Amino acid sequence: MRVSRRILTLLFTIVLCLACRRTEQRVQTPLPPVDDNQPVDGGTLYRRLDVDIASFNPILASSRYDRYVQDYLFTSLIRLDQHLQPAPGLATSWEISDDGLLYTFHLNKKATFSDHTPVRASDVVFTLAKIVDPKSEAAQIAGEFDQLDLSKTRAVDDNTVVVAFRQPLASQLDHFFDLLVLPEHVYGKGDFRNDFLARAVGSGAYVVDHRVPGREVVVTRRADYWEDPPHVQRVVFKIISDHTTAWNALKRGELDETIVASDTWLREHNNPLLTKSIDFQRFYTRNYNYIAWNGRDPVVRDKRVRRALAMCIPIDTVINDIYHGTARAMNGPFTPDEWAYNAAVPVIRYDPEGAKKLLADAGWSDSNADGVVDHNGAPMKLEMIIFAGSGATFQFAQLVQSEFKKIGVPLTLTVLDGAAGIQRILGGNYQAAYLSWDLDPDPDPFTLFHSSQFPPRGQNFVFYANPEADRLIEAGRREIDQSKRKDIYYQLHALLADDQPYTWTVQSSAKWGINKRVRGVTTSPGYGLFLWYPGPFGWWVHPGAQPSARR
Amino acid sequence: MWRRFRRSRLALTALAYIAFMTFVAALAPLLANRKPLLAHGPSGWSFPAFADYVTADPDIDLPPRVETFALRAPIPYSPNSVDLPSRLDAPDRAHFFGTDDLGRDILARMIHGARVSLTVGFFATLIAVIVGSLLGAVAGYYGGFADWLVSRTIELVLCFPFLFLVLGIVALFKPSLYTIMIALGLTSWTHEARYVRGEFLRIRDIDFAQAARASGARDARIIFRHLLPNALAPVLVSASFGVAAAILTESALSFLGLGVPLPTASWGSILSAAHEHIDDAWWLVLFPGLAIFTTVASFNLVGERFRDALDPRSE
Repeated sequence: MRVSRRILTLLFTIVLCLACRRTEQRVQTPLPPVDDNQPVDGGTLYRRLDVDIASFNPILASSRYDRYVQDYLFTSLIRLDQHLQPAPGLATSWEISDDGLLYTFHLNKKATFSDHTPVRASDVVFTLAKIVDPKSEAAQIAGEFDQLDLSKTRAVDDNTVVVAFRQPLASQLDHFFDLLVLPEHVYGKGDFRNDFLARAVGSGAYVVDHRVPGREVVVTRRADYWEDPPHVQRVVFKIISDHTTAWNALKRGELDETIVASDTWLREHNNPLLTKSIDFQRFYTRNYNYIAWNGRDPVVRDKRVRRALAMCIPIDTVINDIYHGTARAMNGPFTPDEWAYNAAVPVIRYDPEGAKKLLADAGWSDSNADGVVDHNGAPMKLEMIIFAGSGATFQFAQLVQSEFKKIGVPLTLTVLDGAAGIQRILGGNYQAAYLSWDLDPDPDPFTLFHSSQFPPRGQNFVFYANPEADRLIEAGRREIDQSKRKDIYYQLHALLADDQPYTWTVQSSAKWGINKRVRGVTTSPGYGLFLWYPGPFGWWVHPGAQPSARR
Repeated sequence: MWRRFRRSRLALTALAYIAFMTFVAALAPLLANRKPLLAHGPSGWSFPAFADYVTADPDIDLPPRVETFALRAPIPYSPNSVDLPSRLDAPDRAHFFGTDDLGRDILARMIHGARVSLTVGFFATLIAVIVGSLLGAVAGYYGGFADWLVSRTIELVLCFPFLFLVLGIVALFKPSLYTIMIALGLTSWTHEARYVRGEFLRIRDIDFAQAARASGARDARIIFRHLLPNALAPVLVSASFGVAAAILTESALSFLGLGVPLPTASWGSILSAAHEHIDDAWWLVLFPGLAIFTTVASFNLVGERFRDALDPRSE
């Protein structure tokens, strides 16, 4: 008797699940038309964070998701416009001395922090001092200001600041985009690393309403904002790590924007039921995927081995079948849209037979006919770290695994979560890792490939060291004349493609779904939806969808 | 006992189903393999598929061989052969259960996945039974400090949420089949230990045990030859529930990505790849889900029937 009751319960559960699925399919009703030239204030915007933020303190930002939130709370000294050109931020104008060493910024006199105090030049000096202070452990941003000469940096008056450098850098102005100015009278007291993780005082248009770690961050618009106020009253960042979960939330109207997986995009972006309420966008950003090879590993330190493995990746199949044609093949550190991109550098073609020969040249061949290549009697072992979360990564990794196997290279895939994986990679405790970069507007690859930038100083965790590459990288970042810089980067591109410190795979286009109740959405060629100005600050919420019943 | 067991047709069906699954798991390389079972070429007769019992399918491109005769496996696909052009194919005549997001045949993966699930189920439970019986026997036989120590250890292990304990152990080591079996075995022995301890407390002073002691047998002999066989019946019941729980936990671990390493097929890892395609590829969810459900339910049914058959008070 008990037996049958249990089965009944299970069946009942299954039926219930099916019933639940039905209601999910409900489609939102389309909104009445609205004049897109007449933005309306108010409403709540629901954004997504793939990963919870680490801190509200912009100097300690570790991921772009931290920056997504901090952009609402702080203002950078300069901003990037839609075409990634420098535009006024806290500074209304600036001058650069002829030798490229002195930057003079004139701050907006109206600018205030959220505690109603004015933004002063001394706050800029304070923030710069915190960035280069080793005690701040601001690894990511410190590299952008490593040539800062703090002794000559000073506040001329309340609204004018002179920032001095020891060396001129072509990309230096762009780096002020990452300088989110902190008020000295708040951040100068207490424990800088630990006291400001959960609260923030900034000069941005929004203030923190509340935060539930792992679930959401909510910011609301400041009443006394000193610039043209943005339209949206309240922004809720929901932390959703899984793409499928986020996609379902978007369909249910619980989320206003999310990146969409390639498979989902292919299936749904022409679905008339969904396009009534969801706006699909696809564009290329400065982003690429790559396999990082540890240059200190006895196996992959040989560039012939790296190239042979690169020749086993059927890149056209990856693009056509995994990305459905929405990605481009990469061959070096610059993306095809950048001026530094050298179109003459070839993409490595799929050639397993050639790969076998190249491996044999490097001393790896299957001498005992057991299906695994060996060197001096030791069979090859290769481990690649991949990160959980993206279906395309898993598909790519398993495809590569089966292709490597065909030439006798057994590949172990180790799936790690963010923190554990980054730790192993920065510690040099890995052989290969499948990763991606979001690039700065300036192409300077100094922190990635210069031999002085091994971790923990920089991000050259592939331990790539080539004197010729060092020379080109240094020349490239010092040269102010862009046409001469271009020549230098063309050479660097060819050299890196030949050395294969990374095996560049694809530049996948970003695919987004945005609820149509959000209006005024525009994209930047290069950065897409976010991190430029106005970007999300130009968005507004359809008045017919404003009195939001959900919460 | 068997006579009482036989009376339930449902339990008999479940037992037959388990036998069938075990059979499938044992013959997996012969049931689903892209290499032929039997081939005749210039070099004579060969049995390529059987080689997979020695080495797992090396997936090396087979040299184009001139086969004059080839006997194919019933499912002519290996579990890990990637075929991107036919990714996410719905079930049809070529792929009875459809294909996954890399074009791998789901039926082939499920047949090989049955090996993983059942191996983990049986061996994890075997470890649990061995550890549990030994500790339970020592506690029940000697009593006193040994009993106190074992009982407190049981309580300590039971204090931790089971899945978290397993996740913790698995995360510490490299994910592999053995890690999972050992982690599951070392966390689920508490029930067995309690049953054996209880039985030992009951029977250690019964006449036959007294007689053995009087004839000068050593403790080990009394425990293993005389007492343990008489205390094992309730352990068998709990073991069959244990197998079900182990299969379910392995699926959960693989679903979370902490199970068997990629690309090894297990029912949980197939489901894990399915969750991105829940809207458009029902076959990725349905078949492995059904396999887990039916197998776990079968072990539970068999376990319940065992318990009823052993209980003199039932019916």
